[in-house]
Amino acid sequence: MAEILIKAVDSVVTDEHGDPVDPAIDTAHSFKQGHPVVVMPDGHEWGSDEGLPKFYILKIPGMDPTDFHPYLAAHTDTPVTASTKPDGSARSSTLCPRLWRLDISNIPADVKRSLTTTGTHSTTWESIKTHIKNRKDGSTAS
Amino acid sequence: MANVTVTVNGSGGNYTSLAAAIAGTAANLVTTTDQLSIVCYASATADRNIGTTQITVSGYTTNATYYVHIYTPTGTGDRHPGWWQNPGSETFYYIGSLDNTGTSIYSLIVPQDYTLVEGVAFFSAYRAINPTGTSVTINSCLMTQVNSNYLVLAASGSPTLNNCVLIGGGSGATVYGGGTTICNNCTAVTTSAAFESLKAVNCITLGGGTSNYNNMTAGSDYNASDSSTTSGGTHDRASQTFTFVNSSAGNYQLTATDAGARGFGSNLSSTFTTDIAGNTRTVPWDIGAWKAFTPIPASVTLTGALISLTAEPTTESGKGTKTITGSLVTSAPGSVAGGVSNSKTLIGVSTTTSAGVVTETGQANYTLSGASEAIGAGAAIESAITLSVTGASVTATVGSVYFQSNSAPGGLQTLNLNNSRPSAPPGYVNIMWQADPPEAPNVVRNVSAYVEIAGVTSIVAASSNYTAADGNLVLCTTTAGSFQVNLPTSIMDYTVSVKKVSVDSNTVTIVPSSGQIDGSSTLIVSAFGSCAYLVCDGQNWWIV
Repeated sequence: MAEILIKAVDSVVTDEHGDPVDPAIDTAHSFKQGHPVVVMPDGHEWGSDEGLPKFYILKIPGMDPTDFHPYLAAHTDTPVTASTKPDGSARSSTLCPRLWRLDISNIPADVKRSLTTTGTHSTTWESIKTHIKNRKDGSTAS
Repeated sequence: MANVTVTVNGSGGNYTSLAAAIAGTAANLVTTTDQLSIVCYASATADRNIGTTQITVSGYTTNATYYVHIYTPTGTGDRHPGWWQNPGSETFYYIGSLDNTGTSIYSLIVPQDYTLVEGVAFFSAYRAINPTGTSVTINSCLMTQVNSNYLVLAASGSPTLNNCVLIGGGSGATVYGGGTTICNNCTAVTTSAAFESLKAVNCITLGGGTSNYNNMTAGSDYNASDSSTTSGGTHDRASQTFTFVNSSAGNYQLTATDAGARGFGSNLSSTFTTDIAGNTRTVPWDIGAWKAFTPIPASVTLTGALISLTAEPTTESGKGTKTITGSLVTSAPGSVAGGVSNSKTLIGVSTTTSAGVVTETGQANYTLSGASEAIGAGAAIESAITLSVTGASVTATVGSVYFQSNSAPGGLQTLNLNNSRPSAPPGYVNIMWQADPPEAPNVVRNVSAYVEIAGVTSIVAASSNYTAADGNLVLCTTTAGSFQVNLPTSIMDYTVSVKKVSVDSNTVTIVPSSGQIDGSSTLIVSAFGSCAYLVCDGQNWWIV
């Protein structure tokens, strides 16, 4: 079983006066609701702040944590390649801390209720993967 | 303003991974006037394998006052000691990303302005850190990559690296600075380029050959290299041979005899005052991440009818304080916290420390007193300390001491002085405690120490003309100039030791009040570490 720590609320970047910044900057640097943050093995002892109100914990029996690693990738504008040069010619920039996001607004009501009231929910990869969306192309997890 | 601290530990803390701590604390620290500390403990083993992801420090609003400080605590075993002791199986906190197969993947990305990363170790497949924010400071970090690539890539941003040991795999600069990076007192080891497009001061570069420095920024100076290239500074030292404590094991601390980098650095005390391990730097500064290991005499006192030295599974490097007092005291295996001055005191009728291994280097003061001092089995290696042993019939003061034990706890029986042991260094006597443990009768095990016998009763420091008294060990610092040490009135059995402890070309001239020294009117001590031990026969003084 894998246990996934998912951001429960949006973080928002503001300027030194507390005013909004360029939305693109905010998006590039802020974890938003539904972003998976880390994945841990079954039975992981989470920290005191790794739960509501900041995070949800999604438990997926039978899933190897390493299988979820691809869904922790950042959304970058240029594929990171071995030929990346320090002169900036092929460097990527981060558009969003995570490419993938659990679509909280569209998950089944019982799942949402469980997450928002208890902070955790056990499910299967088959039933949840269609609610994990790719920010770039709109595809779902496989 | 508040100092907000969250912890990253395996259990009982706020977070169990650094990534979660960042995601959970991202906020506007300026409007909340908070300085955020994220303290990473060794128990946070999840960060030892972060998979294929990168940890990114972002999402905050910061300035020079309200910033993000990510660090490991010192003196608790949570921070790396400055080198990898068991790569891949370390007990201190580190970020490991060996599963990363992308050559351009970092263990840590820091686009966040005003972030201070301190005392963190990185064990990366390819790149360790990408500090792109403004005013990102990386202090006392240990970084290693197992494949070839850039280790620190700061093509943008303006990071400063202080006291970092950077072990690159080649094929790409160990540190690429983008023209705005500053490296102070770093040690960069590579098989390819070491530094590129950055300002380096007081840095050691090794293994990069003619690529040790590339396109260095103005202001680079006081750097030492094993190749013929320099960073362009007038005080650079090219083609140097360095003497490290154990470079084959990754320990790049300079030894006390190093002639390549020790004492050739610029004084950067306005920026920082310690080295990668927290040792206070002294003038003249050493080049590299480490202050050179410098044996500084301290004192060790053991008092009791029966004393044995011991073992415990701990490592003390440089400085620490340990006091054990009681009628029956047992110090459990574990580490000893470092401190400003190193002191260990064991007092009691019976004092026992448990088995294991002790390695102590640097300054130390040991005091053991009691009717019976028994320190258990194992192996202990202690160096660069001064020892005084006082017992029923033994008093000795030493310049250095080496203890080794293979005995089981308990069963201390005899204390022997044996200066005929072949391996005892000249001028030293072997003190041996023999144990015949009751659980293994007739199996004698030894705890032994090489102790230099000297009539030293007090240690004094001198940096100008000084008149010594009987029993003085005069530690002479001649950095300000040559001076003389006047011996006391020539009285039989008077002893004076004079040792030069500074690295410079000045001298100490020893002048007797009457008579001669080994047939000469004076004796000159000029080399660092040289020591003259003088004994008076009532008229003249003799070097022994």
